[in-house]
Amino acid sequence: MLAQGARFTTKWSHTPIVVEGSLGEGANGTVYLVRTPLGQAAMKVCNASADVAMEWALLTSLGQGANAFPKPMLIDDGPPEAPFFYIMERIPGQSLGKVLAQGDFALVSKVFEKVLDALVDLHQTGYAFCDLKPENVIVTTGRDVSIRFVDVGGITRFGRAVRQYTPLCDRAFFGMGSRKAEPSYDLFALLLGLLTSATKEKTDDLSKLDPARRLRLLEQTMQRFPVEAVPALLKSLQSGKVTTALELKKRWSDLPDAKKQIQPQHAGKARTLRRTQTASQQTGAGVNRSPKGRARPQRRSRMDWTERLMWLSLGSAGIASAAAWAVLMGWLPS
Amino acid sequence: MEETQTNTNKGTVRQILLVTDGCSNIGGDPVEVARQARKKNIIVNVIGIVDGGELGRPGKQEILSISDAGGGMCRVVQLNELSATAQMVTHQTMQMTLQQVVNQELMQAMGKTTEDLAPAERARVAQVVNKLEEELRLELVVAVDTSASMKDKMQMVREAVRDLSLSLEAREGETAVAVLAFPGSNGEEVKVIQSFAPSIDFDALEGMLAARGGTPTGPAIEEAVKLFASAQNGRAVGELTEWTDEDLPARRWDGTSNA
Repeated sequence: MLAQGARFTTKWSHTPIVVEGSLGEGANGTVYLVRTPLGQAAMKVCNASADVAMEWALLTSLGQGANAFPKPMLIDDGPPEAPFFYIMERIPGQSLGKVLAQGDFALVSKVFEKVLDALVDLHQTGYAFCDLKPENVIVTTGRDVSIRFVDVGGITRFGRAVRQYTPLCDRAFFGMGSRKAEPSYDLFALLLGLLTSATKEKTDDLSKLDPARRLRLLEQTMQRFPVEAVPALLKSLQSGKVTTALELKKRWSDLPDAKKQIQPQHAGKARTLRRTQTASQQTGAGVNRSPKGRARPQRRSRMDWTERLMWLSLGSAGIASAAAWAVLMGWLPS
Repeated sequence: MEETQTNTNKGTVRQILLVTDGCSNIGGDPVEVARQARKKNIIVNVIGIVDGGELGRPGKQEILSISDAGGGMCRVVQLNELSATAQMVTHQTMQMTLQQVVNQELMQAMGKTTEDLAPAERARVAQVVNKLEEELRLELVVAVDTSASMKDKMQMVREAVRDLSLSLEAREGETAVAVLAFPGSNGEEVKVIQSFAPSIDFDALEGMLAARGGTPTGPAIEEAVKLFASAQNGRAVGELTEWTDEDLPARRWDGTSNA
């Protein structure tokens, strides 16, 4: 691990690097925020030189198809704590995983279309993203919504076996298809990422079941997904009628707008879905709540002890100062 | 048919994946058996699984020694990580095997290993290794500890093996996979659940049950080596070169030398 503030000069190009912090752990290495002579950037460090080499090769060889991925800047070697690494553009923003957790499904719908556009570009080069989980989609909201992808480690040529994936976004895990890299693999991953974000089942619980039972559980919970169009799209993938990103996009735009918006009975429920413990609670929860068509994080109604203490102290301070004024003004006998 | 021929000519990677939750206590020394396997170009990987707690020190020491002797990797993971780890270990040791072959070729041709090359050149080598990994024939024996202590873990282990099978089936190259259980449910030391086949038979896997008795790890590796011998087809990758222990530690730039 590199500490914040660590400095070193790269082995081959003698570039000075200052480590400014850690951005997170990937499947095969760690990503750091660094300062380089070219400005702030992200540095991916792996223990195996082959992993760095492979990811670099993908970033540099996919051309237009890799537009959604970080731009590659430098590949080099460092000190023992960072033996092999490459440096790439830093992508600021919030992950789709966070957007889903906040229950902002109006934004999710926009993001969904953008991700499909990026997949169309990538698939044209003959490669699939594969590890397309919500955490690997970075969303920036400014005047316009835009998305970028991070973690190139999973990108695989069509026809080859998927090397890197997340069980909850893996169609083979649910028995809905092979673990071969092809356009539809990514489409499944995208929809599964959205649908499973709202289920209570954890990977651990599902891992014990066989794929058919995993799928049954998914189908039970996905009917409650707040945007009706998403489960419908998964069905069209399952039936094999839709196999490419363009076809999925068309199907999405053919669906009536009402289905793409958050369903009224789900308003305000998005967060509840993640919290509740049993299925029976889920169906009951939140149905009568919040008539407005948008889910917002809700204020927790129960006070915890710190809040009570605060009100107690404020209250007693108020009483004490009122009494002090009263004495001062002579309203009370002293 | 022609394609099969090409794949076989390119060579075969042979691996044993040992899944256990403790120390061996029946049969010969598993470390010695693993050493013998490696001499036959069979890599032995070990995954130690724990359910909540930790693996005992002797157990951990033993699986480390087995994987060292067998030229493979050793990972101790929680039960729920087994599936992902099994795939990662299979993939990484295949890469490692191929990388060693490529390194030897590079050494002979240029007097350099991959890590002596400039990073951008390594990217090309990595692409070659990646292509080879996908196209070569893989023979894998999954050996599962079915001793009494595994009873509560078997359901998850079966699903993990099944999940591994999904990844193997997706490979472009030929794959042959066999499954062993040790000990067997009828008192035998090792039971062949499935001999080499292109994919795992899930019905046969249902018959892989926790049995009474100890952990014959050594005999299990021995049986796996026998399975390879009986299915011997194609040349093992790296067979032409004699491996020594010095091949293993990766050469690393230590940050002090001037380049």
